[in-house]
Order: sequence, then C-alpha cells, then structure tokens
Amino acid sequence: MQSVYIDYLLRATISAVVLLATMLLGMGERTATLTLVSLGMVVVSAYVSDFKRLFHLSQRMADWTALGVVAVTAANAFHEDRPGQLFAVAHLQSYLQYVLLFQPKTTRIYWQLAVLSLGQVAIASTLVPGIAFGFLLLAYLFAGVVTFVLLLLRAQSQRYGSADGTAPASALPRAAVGAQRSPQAPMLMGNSARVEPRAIVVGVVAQSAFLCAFAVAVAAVLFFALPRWDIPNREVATTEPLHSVGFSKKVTLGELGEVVNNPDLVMRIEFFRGLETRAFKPAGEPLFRGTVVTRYERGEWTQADRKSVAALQVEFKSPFVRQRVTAEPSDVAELSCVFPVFAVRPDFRLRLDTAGDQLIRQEDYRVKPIEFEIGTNGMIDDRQRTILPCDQRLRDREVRELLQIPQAAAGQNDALAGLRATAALALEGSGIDPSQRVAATRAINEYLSSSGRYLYSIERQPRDRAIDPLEDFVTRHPVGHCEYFAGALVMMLRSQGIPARMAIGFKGGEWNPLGMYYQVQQLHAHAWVEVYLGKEDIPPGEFSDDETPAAAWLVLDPTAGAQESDSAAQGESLLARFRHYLDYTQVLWINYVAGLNSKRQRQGIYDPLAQGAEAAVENVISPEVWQERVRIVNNSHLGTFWQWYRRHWFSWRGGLVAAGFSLVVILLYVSARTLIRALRRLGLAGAARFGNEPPVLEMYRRLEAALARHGLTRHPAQTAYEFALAAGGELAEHIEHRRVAHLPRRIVDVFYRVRFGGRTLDNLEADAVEHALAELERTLAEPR
Amino acid sequence: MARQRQIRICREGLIYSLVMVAALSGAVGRQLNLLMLVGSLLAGPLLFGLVYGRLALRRLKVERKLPPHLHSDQRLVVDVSVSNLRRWLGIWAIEVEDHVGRDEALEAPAAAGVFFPHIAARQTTQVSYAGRLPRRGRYQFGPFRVTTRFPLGLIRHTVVLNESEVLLVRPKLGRLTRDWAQIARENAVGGQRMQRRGLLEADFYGLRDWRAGDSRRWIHWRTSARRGSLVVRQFEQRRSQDLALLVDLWQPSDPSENDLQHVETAVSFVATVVAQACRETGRQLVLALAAQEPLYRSGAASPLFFEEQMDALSLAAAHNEPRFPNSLGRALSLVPLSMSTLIVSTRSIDWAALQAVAIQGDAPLSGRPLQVLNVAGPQFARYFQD
Repeated sequence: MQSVYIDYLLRATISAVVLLATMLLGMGERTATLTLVSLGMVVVSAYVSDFKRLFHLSQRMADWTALGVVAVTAANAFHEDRPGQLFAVAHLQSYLQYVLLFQPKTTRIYWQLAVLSLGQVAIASTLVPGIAFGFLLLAYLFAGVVTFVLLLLRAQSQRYGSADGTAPASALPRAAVGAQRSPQAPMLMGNSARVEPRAIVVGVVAQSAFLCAFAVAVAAVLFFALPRWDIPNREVATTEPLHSVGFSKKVTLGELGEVVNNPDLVMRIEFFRGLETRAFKPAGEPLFRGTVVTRYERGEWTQADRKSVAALQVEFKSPFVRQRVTAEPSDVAELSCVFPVFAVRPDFRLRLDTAGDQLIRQEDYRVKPIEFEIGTNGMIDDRQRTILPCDQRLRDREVRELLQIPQAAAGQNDALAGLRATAALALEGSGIDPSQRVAATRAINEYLSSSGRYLYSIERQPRDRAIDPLEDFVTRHPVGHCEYFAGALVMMLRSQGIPARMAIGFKGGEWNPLGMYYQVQQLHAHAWVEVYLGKEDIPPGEFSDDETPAAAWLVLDPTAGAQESDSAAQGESLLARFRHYLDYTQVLWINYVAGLNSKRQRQGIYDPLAQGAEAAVENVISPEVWQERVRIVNNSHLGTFWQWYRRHWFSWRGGLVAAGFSLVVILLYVSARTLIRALRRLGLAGAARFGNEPPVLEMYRRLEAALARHGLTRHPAQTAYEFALAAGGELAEHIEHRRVAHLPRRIVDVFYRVRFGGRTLDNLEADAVEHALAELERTLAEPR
Repeated sequence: MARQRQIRICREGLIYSLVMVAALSGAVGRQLNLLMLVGSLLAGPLLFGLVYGRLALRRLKVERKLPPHLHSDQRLVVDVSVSNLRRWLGIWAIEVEDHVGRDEALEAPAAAGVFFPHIAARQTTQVSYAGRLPRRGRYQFGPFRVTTRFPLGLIRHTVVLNESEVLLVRPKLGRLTRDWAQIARENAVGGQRMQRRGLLEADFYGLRDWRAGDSRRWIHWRTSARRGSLVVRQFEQRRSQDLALLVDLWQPSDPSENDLQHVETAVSFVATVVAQACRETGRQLVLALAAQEPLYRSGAASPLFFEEQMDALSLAAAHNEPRFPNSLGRALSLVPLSMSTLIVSTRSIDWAALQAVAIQGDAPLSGRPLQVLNVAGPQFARYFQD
C-alpha cells in the first residue's frame, strides 16, 4: 500500500519534471507546441501505461523506437544551422522521454527521464534569460528533488518489503543474503517500517522545501564565486525589440495615443548626485526627452534635415547628476533621458546628434538592452530644471526653423488663422508684451492648460478633416492628448514670434522605491514644448555664477491635467507593491544573474566583500578606533565609575560587603547543586525510596541484586522468568550452589503471581520467600 | 557503543556529479550565466547529502531483541528498534543491517536489513526481520550497519555500531515415530519379554490426554466418550520410565556431507527424546555425550533440565576418535542397572568394543535394559523424522 502510494506520487512528480523542462524549452523557442505535446503524452501515458496498463513498450520495442527517433533527428539536424541543431537535440530529448513514458516505470526509467529533462533545462538556459526562467527553474528544482526523494523511498521500500505484510517487489531481496549462499547458511528476510501516506507526503514536501532552500543558498554562493570574464557583445536580450512610436523624423498627430495603454518596458533610470553610489528620487516627475521635432505641416511633425552626429565629450558640469539608464531593445536609435547631457566616461556605443539635440545608440546596440551612465546639468536640488542651459546659441537659420508656421498658398485662407487669433487673444488678455519671452510664453501656456476650455483625453476625437488638426483642436474640438496640446502651444508661440519646438519622450514613469529607479513604459510617452531663450531672455538668477550658458530652453508642459503628481506620496496598493517587487526582482535577475559579468561581479560582490573585510580588520586593529572606544567608555557611566574607582580603589566597608556577598552566592550555589543532585538521585531511585514499592518487587530486586553479585545479570531482552531459569541452570552447574538452583525460579513464581496474577502475598508465603532469599544470598556469599 | 563512520558516493551520485561538473565546466568555459546557475543548483543537493547523513546518524540508538530460545530451523524473529534521540529533527530513510554468523562457520556472516522510512524526533520505531537458522550453535548477532542515502540517494553514510549479542541456537526438534514409542515401551519394561507383564503389573494411578505413540489399549473409552477426546490410563512405572541416553557423536576426520548430517540428526534425535522426556516431571534422566568435550548430565526431568541439556547439545561437536569412547563406558558405570539405557551413535556399534569399555568402566552390560540405535543405519528413519 505504502509502495503503491509512493508510486502514484512519483509518477505525478516525474510528470511535473518533464513538463516543466519542456515549458522552459518552449519559452526558449517562443512556442507552446512542445509543451502541449508533452502534456498530451504525459496524460496519455499515465492513463494507458500506468493507470489502466493497456499498453507498454517492451524494452526491445523501446530501444528500436529510440534508435529510429535518433536517426531521424540526426538526419534532420544535419541540414540545420547551429541554433537549429541545438533545438534538434532538445527535441530529441523530448522524443526519448515520450518513449520512456510508455515503458514500465522502473528506477532506471525515472532516472533517464530526469536526466533528459535536465538536458532540456541546460539547453533552455542558453535561450531564456528572463526572470520567468528563474521561477520555473525553482519549480523544476522542487519537483526534481521531490522526485528523487520519492525514488529513494520507493527503491528502499521495494528492497525490504513492508511491515504490514507487503512482500518485497523483487522475489529475492538483497536482504535475504543467506538464501544465495549455502543451504546451511542463515536465511534472513528484511522488512520495512510502515509510515502513514499522509506523513510521507507532508514529510517529503517539507524536507524537499528545506533542501531546495539549502540548494538555492549554496547555488547563490557558488554562482557568484564562479569566475567571469568579459566576452564582447554578450548583453542579454530579455525581450523582443520594442516598436517605438513617435521617435522618428516624421511624427503624425495621434500616434502617441496608440501607446497610452501599452505597458511594454522602455527603460529603467536611476539618478545619482555627482559620483555618489546611492541613488536618489527626483522631486516631481522628470521629463525624459527622446527627440525633438520642429517642422509642422498638416498634422505631421518632422525633424530638421540636418544631422551632426558626434561622440559625447567627457566633461563635468555643475550641478552634476549622473543618470544610469538601462534601455530595452528598440527599433529606433534615440535614447531618452534628462537633457542636456554630457559623457562621464567614454562610451563608444553612444552618439550625440547635436543638430537634433538627441542621444542615439549605435546600430549594433538596438537589438539588445543597453546600460549606460550619462551626466546631466538639467537638474538642480534633486528637481528637473524648467530652464535648461544651452552651450551654444542657435544660428539664425536654426531659429527660423523654430518659427516655422505652415504658410497659406496663394488664394487660400490661412490654415491656422484661428490658432493665431487665439494666441493673440491669450496674450492680449494677459497684458504681456511678446518681447518678454518667458512671461509671454507662460501666459499662452497658462491659457492652454488652465483656462478650462481645453480638455485632455486619450480617446480618439472626431476631427474636421477639412482643416488643420491643430486649428481644429484650438478652435473647434478642444479635446485631445499631449501631442495636440504641445503642438498647439508650439504653433501659438511661433505665431507670436517665439521660437519653440515639440519635445517627445516620456514623463515620469513608475517609481520603484525598492530599486530607487523609474521604470518607464510605453504608456508613459509624452510630448511637451521647449522654447528657445537667448542669453538676454534668461531670467536673472536662473543660473549660478559658475554657469554661463549661451542660451537656454524653457520647458513647458501645456497638457491640461498634466500637473506633477508624486506617486510615492500616494498610498501604494498591494498590487502595486507586488509589481514593484516583481520588477525589482527582474532588475536584479538581469543585472546579477542573467547578465552578470566580471565588472558587475567585481563591483557588486567582490569589492563590497573586500571593503567589508577591510573595514572589519580595520575595526579590530586600528589604534584610532580603539582610542575612540576608550573615549566613549570613559564618557559613559562605566567610565565615571572607573574614574571614581581609581580614586577610591579600596574600602574596608566595600570589601566586607563584597566578600559577604560572594560567600552568600557561593553558599547558594553549593546548596542548589546539592539539592538538585539529591532530587535527581531520588528520582532515579523511583517510588521505592518513598516507601511505595510493593514488598514483592523489593524481594525481586533483592534476588536480582544477589544474582548480580554472583555475576548473573538479566539481559534486557529476558523476562524475569527466563532469567530465573537461566540463573538456576548456571547455579546447578556448580555443586556448591546446586541446592539453591531452584530458588530463583521459586521466588519468581511468587513474584509473578503477585505482580501479574493480582494475588496477595500472605504471611506464610512472604516468610517462605524471605527465607529462600536469605538462603540464596547466604549461599552465594560463601566463597567458592 | 563503538562507532565507525564511512562515507561513500553511490553510483547515482557519481553520475549526478559528472552531470554537474559537465554543466559547470561548459557554463564557465562559455560564460553562460544561466547554465552556471543550473550547475550551481545541482551542487546543493550533493552538499546537503554530505551534511545531512552525518547529522542524521549522530544521535541514534539501535537495539535488537533476540528471542530467548530458538531451535534450528525454527522461525527467527528479531526486533530491531531505532530511537531518534534528537529533540526536533526527524530522520528519514534509515537502513539498519544486522549481521548474523555462526561462531564456527568459516563463511562470512549473513546480513538482514530493516528499513525505517521516517523516525520522528524523540521517537522509537521498531521493525523486525525474520528468517531461519538451519544449524544449531552459537550465533553472533552484530555489528549493526546503519546507513542512510537520504535525500536523493547520491551519498551513502554508514555508521557501524559494535552492538553484538549471542544467541544459542538449539538442536532442531524432530518427531518421534510410533515405532520409537514401541521400542521405548519395550525398553521401559525391560524388553519384549517383560512387556505384557510390565503393563499388566503396573499400578493404575490416573488418566491423561492421549499423545502420539500411546497404545490404543491404554485408551480409557468411557472417559474418552464422556469428554469427546481420547484419554488414556497412566500407570505408575516410575522406575521403568527413567532413561539414560548415551550418545556417541562421532564423525570421521574428513567428514562428508552425509557424516555431518548424521551428527546433526543424532543431536536432533537426542534433543527430541530429552524434550519428550522432560514433558513429564519426576523421571530420572541421564545424558552422556561422547563428543569433543564429553558431557555427563543427570537429573530429574524438568523444564530446567531441558533448558540445560538443550544449551549443551547446541554446542556439542563431534569427536573423531575411531575407538569407541571410554567416556561412555564410564558413564555407563554411573547409570543404575535398572535404568533403561539407549546408546545412540553415528556409526554402527561394535559390541565387542562396547563390552570392552563397559568392563573397563566396571559397568556390566548383562541384565541392563539396553538398546542401541545407529543413526547412520537404514532402520533409524523408522524411529525419527527431522
């Protein structure tokens, strides 16, 4: 029964092992076909071969089938490329597992299934880098451990049979060793204790969980200790390259609306003050600019034709904030971050397009995640600046580009007439002269974002196709998303002679308090406005004396309802917290497991360990540290006491009190020890010491004691009667004791009658026993 | 309790280690992080096996309980109990192997194992192994080999506990046939001539249940009918019920299997006769054994006498003196002339030689109710079946 129960469990767990391995492989292949086929095979084989026993592959059939499978796979794999051959091997392992599943399950078959599944996991480990691999690997480890534990219990149970009478599985277990030797040799048959099935399940699961925890701990140490060296171009791609919207030379209004619900990860970004290693959370929601567009024509924004790509210069500007960006693969070159940027170390993977004012990554690094550090002076006091410094003034041609407005063709009405009028009206209403560029800009922005007329919506709005979309937004349908707001503001500013451009990128993101980083997803895509300020337009006091920007960009976000929100300030839901944990786990996985390289190993593990060890040694041997400790002790109550003690180191009164106290303590200790020992002795002696022992028991003890003095002691396996018989035999061997040989048995007879027969001992019998005992003791005391 | 420890990697462990090393070396060589992770995870269970087994076998107490008496070929049941003395930690998959060997046997002891799937903390679990010991003699039980391969069966930890005990396995008790009962009766009343007279002259003193070998003429039909089971009359024949067994346990210097078997049969026969005689207390019995160590025992039939003779017979070893043993002549001189005497030998008795030793021991044969049985002879099977 026990063995059958283990068998059922074992089949379930080995099925789980097979399925988990094929799932891992399927993840690598990005297809569920193999998993589904394996699931079908597991279910069918369990029903047909194990449960109903309708069909089994014999060993010979299985061998031939396996040979055929190997031959066919090898023939196919011959024509494949290297990844194809890897998949062919993995598939071959699955096919061999199918053959094994239909064979009678022996220990060997279970082992083969497990080893094949391990091969699949090994192949999958080269294909699946995501955290999902980690979770499935843990499940696989647990299922595998349970399988092997059950396999051991099954093998042992079958070898010994069980105590409930179940015969051993094999006709002649190894325990029956004597049977294989001479017929005169002992023939012995082993046995197994019976354990409740529930206890087996609970115990095996608990032990396996404990073992898995131990294995993970050992694996962590070993994994991080194994040597790493740099292999170029080996960054790990966790996802397919993203299809990015809006980051091209041509942006069509409404495109960003497509991505507002897209949760695909774009990048993670951390901020560090200067060269600090501890990340900080910027106040407010930073704007991560990806690209800028300047030219507008009937709903389409395009970039300038010029392009001037150059390597980033390593320089340190003040205030200096480092950004560490981990960008996911993307189909476009532009990278998003807080601008303006400068390099903190040479990085050949990055380029700066000075004409487009955008950061781009080299072609080879688009299909893989890229992690880089870049400096910015666009933040001050942990907050993003609203006026960004610019090293160079724009040339007139570039300024003219920032003032471009679609011109009406001859004979046609001005396409943006309503927009121009609205801008003029807004400016007039504020009473600000357009020459006061910052104030005028803010007035128009205020009109657009806070007048209440313009509403934010991600829904696609009905537009009048006959007129320009921005004209339509400003004059007729004042509902739209950030692109409409930003586009409208740019055009309204330009209509008032203020040079501006539309910036596209991401706003904020999801702040992860565990990892101290922003996780930016597609749905955080945003558009805003940057207004060019000449040196004369920069408000006084905006920059410190150290900074001498030649020009600046005023950042405006006109989108209604786009005020800054601090997500961290709001209470986090349980789901959000879980998401943060999951995401942080993914980050750790990517950085320290799947993408661990020699640099990270050194920075993340060896350097902190070395520093810790160094600090510990320093803590122990440094004279300064000890001096500081002594100083602290001196300043404490203990130190005060010591100072007092040094002055009054001896006192008769104190000495007497101390001696008396010590004496009392010693006396108490000795008394307690004596008392405990006495109690222990009494406890060992049992009830007899307190006079509760029946007289007959006392008599029997005397008998044992008398015989023991003669060298006859009762074996624990012997009953009193057996002992008495044996002792009588021994006594009868010697002529001087032969006359008392019968007494032990006689005394034990009386002892049994009273002790187990419930009889009472009358005086006559008691006297007789006493007499017999006395005679025995006397005889045995005589020298031989 | 002396302990020896052994750690061995099992075949499965070897395969497992090879797979792990292959995975790790491949992963390090090609710098495949996740394959390194898989390889590292494989290391955990191996290390756990090393640590667990060492801990699991530490605070265990193993005991065996042997039967007080055992005759050869009787079913042997040995209880093995394992106590887990830990406070918290239960232990799994404990295998206890006991070794059983005869002192005189040249071959290695046989092993019997018991398996304990789980022993909870502070608990004792008991399992028994069973079997048969086909030969009499002194058997040594132990030492115990306590083994665990938990959790995955990769590493085998063994501790050897020198916990030894001795069990005397007594001669096999066979069955005395009806013909034996016949000659016993003849012997008891002094031979064929005296049978009728002895039976008739005996004093009736009670009734008892019928036993195999009792004459049908002794059945007390009236009482048998009343009770529904056969009851026979008993006669007061104390003198003639006394029995002296003189056993010549001889085998050649280079004994064949048959010779050895004859010795065993003779011992078994004698043990059976003693066992039957001791069922009725009060009879005087004499057992004289001509063996490597001659033995002479005399006493009243009793369970104690039975126990003593069984222990003596369990260790009796045959002598290979070609001459008829003088010890039997001396023993014969101690046997009262009226006592029924049965000489059992593993060879045919040379009457002249017997007479010579009897004369030498001052024990006349004439007038003595004497029977001789040759165990090796073809007639012996008529009296005894083992």
